[in-house]
Amino acid sequence: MTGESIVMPANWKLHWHYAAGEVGTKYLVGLRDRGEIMATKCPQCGLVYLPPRSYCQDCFVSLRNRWVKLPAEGTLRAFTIVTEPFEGLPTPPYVIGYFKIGHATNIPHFLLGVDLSDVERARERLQTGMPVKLVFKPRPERVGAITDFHIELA
Amino acid sequence: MISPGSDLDPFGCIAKKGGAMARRVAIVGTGQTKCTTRRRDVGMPDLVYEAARLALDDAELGLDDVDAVIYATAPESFDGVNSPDKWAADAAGALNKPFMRIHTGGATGASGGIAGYHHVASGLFDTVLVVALQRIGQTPDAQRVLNLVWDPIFASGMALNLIASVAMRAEASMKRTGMSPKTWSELAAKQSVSYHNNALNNPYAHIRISITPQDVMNSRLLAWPLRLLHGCPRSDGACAMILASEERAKKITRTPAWVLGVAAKTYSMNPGEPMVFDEMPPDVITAYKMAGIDKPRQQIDVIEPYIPFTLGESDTFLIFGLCDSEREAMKMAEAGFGEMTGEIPISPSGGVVCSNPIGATALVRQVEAALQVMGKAERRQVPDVRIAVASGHGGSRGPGSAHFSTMMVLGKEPR
Repeated sequence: MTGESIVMPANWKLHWHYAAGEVGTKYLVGLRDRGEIMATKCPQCGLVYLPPRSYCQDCFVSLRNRWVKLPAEGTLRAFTIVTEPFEGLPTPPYVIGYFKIGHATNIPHFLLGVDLSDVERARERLQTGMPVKLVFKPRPERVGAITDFHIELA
Repeated sequence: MISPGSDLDPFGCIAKKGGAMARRVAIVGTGQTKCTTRRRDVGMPDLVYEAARLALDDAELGLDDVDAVIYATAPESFDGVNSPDKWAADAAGALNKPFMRIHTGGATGASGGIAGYHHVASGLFDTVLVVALQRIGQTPDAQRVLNLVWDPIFASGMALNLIASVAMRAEASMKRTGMSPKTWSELAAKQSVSYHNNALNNPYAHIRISITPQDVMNSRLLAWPLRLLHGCPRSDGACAMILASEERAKKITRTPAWVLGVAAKTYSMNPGEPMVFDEMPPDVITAYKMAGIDKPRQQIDVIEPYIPFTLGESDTFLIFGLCDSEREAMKMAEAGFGEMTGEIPISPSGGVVCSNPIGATALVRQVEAALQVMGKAERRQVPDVRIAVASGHGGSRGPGSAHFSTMMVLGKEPR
């Protein structure tokens, strides 16, 4: 194509109000008000869902009243050290990983407090299975979100 | 025709349903646009028309010959059109015809191709046109769009994106197998160089550059161990494919690519553990069984897999059942098993790493596999192809994201 190529800019400014639902709300309220990790457990297969779900994806039964409380500790299952800035995400470097809290399904979260001045060495030191602990923010700072706590090596 | 209880009905589905028959289907025409960062010369649905027209011309068919249209496109936030189906329907040739839109993340194009197969195999449609498109170049915020595909309540603050997920998998696999980062880095670089060299033979590929393993190993680190040259670009592109019944296929072309096996499976949203890919997953097993592949390494001639990041290729060999152990897979990778001169060329087109118009990418894999079987792959043609395989993957495990996996086995001869 030769000559002018008209380009028209556009910008969506849309808003949403996502309902967390009964199960999501109980989970978030647990984080905010009590500093507790609440999960749901399937009565048939025993899978513990974190974040909690209202249904079991395998057994396809309702988990609405199947609550269990998890300990504020767990293990590291997988991780990476992000070094590239991505818009809307934290300033690198940072560790993001999957963690097993209690016997629940793995959840993604940041791992704080790791010396990242040498990425290669930091990567070597972090191992699958390392114990971790969940550290909650003080009550006034908790808002009912997954960021109400962070994860550190135990 | 497939008899109930035969090898082509390995799970007894046809028998269970009282003997409904699935008939033979072939790919009879294809079309692709050259992938670029941004096509400024096409507006609105023009790119859809371009690919559809190319496929019809390839098969020497007109719109009257098409019985149904399937339109495959991934998150509309890339293209910025909130109802892409309505927007593209007539450009996809759907006027006066049944039409559906399909979206399964990165597997979108492949799910479209498989839906096309189902339509024809059912006996209800004789000729189906599948068109897939993505115009990622329409937004500067592509990465933000990808960050928004996760559960908005539980995962949005989490910096979880595909790059981090894939990086985690590579890191975990190194620890599990004891492979040193140096070895991993060399194998990943070798694979990346192979794909980029292959793309130089593909006029439709986006990234066509000559690189060395050192270039790959020196490229910018994104998330340990993934580097820029391990990964895919963001591309504008469209692709189309025409499937026909046996009777019609034989009239349309002398070189149909017969669909011998298909499979589609949805895997768990919950990141299972360990993150291991060391054996054939259910979808590969199903597609192979349907296609009569019991010795994949001997029977398959070329593979167009959905691989958006070069992770060293060992798990690819295991997933496709080409060997039994990680140790053997590593040796195969070191020996250049998947290169154009290797035992089974992998991604002769340059693959996803060299072009990724997300909604179309997985259809391109099926189209490239079809071209190999048809002998129409030009400078990227592998000699004497009898069986080609294409895979598709979409989503990635994590809150709010299931994982879609597809397989298609194509052959020069019908079963």
